[in-house]
Order: sequence, then C-alpha cells, then structure tokens
Amino acid sequence: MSQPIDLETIERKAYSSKFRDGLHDIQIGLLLVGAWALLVDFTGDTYIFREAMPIYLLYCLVISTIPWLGKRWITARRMGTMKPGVERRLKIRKAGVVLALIVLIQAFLVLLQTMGIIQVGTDHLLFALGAGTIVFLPMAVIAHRNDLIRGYVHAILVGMTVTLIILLDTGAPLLWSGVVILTMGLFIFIRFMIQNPLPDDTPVSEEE
Amino acid sequence: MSGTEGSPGGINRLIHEPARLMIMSYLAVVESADFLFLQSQTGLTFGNLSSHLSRLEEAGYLRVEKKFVGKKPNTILSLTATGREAFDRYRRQMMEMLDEEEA
Repeated sequence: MSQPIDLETIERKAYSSKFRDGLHDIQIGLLLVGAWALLVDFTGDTYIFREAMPIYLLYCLVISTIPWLGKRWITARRMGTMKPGVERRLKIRKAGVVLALIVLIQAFLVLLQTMGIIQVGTDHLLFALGAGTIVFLPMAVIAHRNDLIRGYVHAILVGMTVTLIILLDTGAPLLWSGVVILTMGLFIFIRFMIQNPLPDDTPVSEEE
Repeated sequence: MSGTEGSPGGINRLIHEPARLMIMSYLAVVESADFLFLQSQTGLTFGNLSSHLSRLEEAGYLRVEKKFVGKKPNTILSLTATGREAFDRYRRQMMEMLDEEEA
C-alpha cells in the first residue's frame, strides 16, 4: 500500500527534536566526568573509592536537573514544546517495562555474586564484557525509546568504558568517554543556541 | 466548511495545501504542541503559520488555547476530533488514489 504521508517518520522527528539542544548529552557527559572525579581512587589500590558513593549520588541528583532546568529557562523558549501522542506514550511505557526487567535481572546477578552463589573473577575478559553489556542494554533501550541515534553512541561508549575499566584496572576510561560525550553535548548546545535565537515578539513555551 | 468543494476525487483542498498538510501531519502525531514548536518543525514564518492556523481553526480542525507564561503569550495547538477525522479521511483517499495509479 502506498504511504503518501509517513507519519511514523514525522512523529520520530517531532519527538527526537526534544533532544536537539544537547542538554541530554551534557548531562551524561557530566555524570561520567563526575564519576571519574568522585569515585576513582587515584592512590592506586582500587579504581573505585566506595566511600564517595553518597556524594556521587547527590551529584547525580543535581546533574539530573540540568535537562529540566535548561529546557525550562533556556531552550524551550527557542524550540517550543509538545506533548507526545498516544503511540509514543505506549512506546515509553513498553520501554519502562523492559528497563524495569533489565534492572531486576542486574540486581539479581549482583545479589548472586554478593552471596557467592556465582563466582566470576573480576580480571576475566568475559566478566568485563558482561559488565559492559549490562550497562549498555538499559542505555540502548532508552535510546530506542527516544528514537535518538546519539543515544546508541552513548550506550556503546559507556558500555566500552565499563569493560575497559575492568580490563585495564583504571578509572581513566570514565574521563575519556565523559569528555567525548560532554564535548559533543556542548557543541550541539552551542550550535542550537546560534541557530535558534530567542525572538522578542513571538510566543514563548513552557516545558511541561 | 468541508474544504472538498470542487476538488477532484473529493480530496480535501484545505488539508491538501502543502504547508497546511505539514501542520496537520505534525499535530496528528502529537497530543498538542505550542506555536513555537510547530514553527521550528515546519520552518514556516510567524505570519505564514498564523494564517494557515487561522484557516484550520475556522474549519473546526484545530483547537487553539491561549495562555500566558509570565508576561508572554503561549499558544497551545491540538487537532479536534473533526480535524483528526478529516486528516484520516484525506490520508485514506490519497493512498487509494496512489494505489490506483500504481495498479
């Protein structure tokens, strides 16, 4: 059957345009750089400094407000806002279920490892690849939910980061991937600001 | 106003106009969008978009809700049930016509 108007493509374009301001990329980049700065033990024995975890979680909380605040005060006034249609809301709900399942499986695996039921050597290549995949999967689901190609790049970079941390026994990959994603986000954000100046006399938008 | 008067095959001419078709397509895939979003997606100028929106609103295809964010106006747009129905009918007719062409 002919398709004179490709509504699926239009919907994808409309929804993914929410991310064209680069704030999502900046958030992920800052989370990775922050993880490197706050969690890595530079003294050498181990690459994770567990005592700093509460500070890092607080940092994550602050950083997670960036897309919301940025849209509210800066970018929504330049690109407008939309409420997703029925199809997209269904897709978001489905992705939520898949994400919840992945998190449950991850928690179960960690529990089995903690209880000593499964024994995996942390210096093992398979363990490194498995850990990378476990981090890659939820991020790929989010990228699929958002129809965001860059999201898959983030997922691959972060998955590789976890694998490399284990294989090389250093926290440096957090900084490498964090800087790459942050730079990408800043570039997209600056380009967006240049291409979308704030008009004086047109209606403004309020992010929902 | 049905927008189909005198048009070949009963095609809705109000929707068939490229800019309005683009507007209707965007509004068909979202629950609602504001003026600025529609302007940035369609690439239409402020005046051009306003004029097309007025035509669609007059036809009863569009719901326009005006509110204020601070001191600035914010216009929220969504398709009415009539608008969605007209758009679905238009798409069906176009697909049938193209299928006939291919056959």
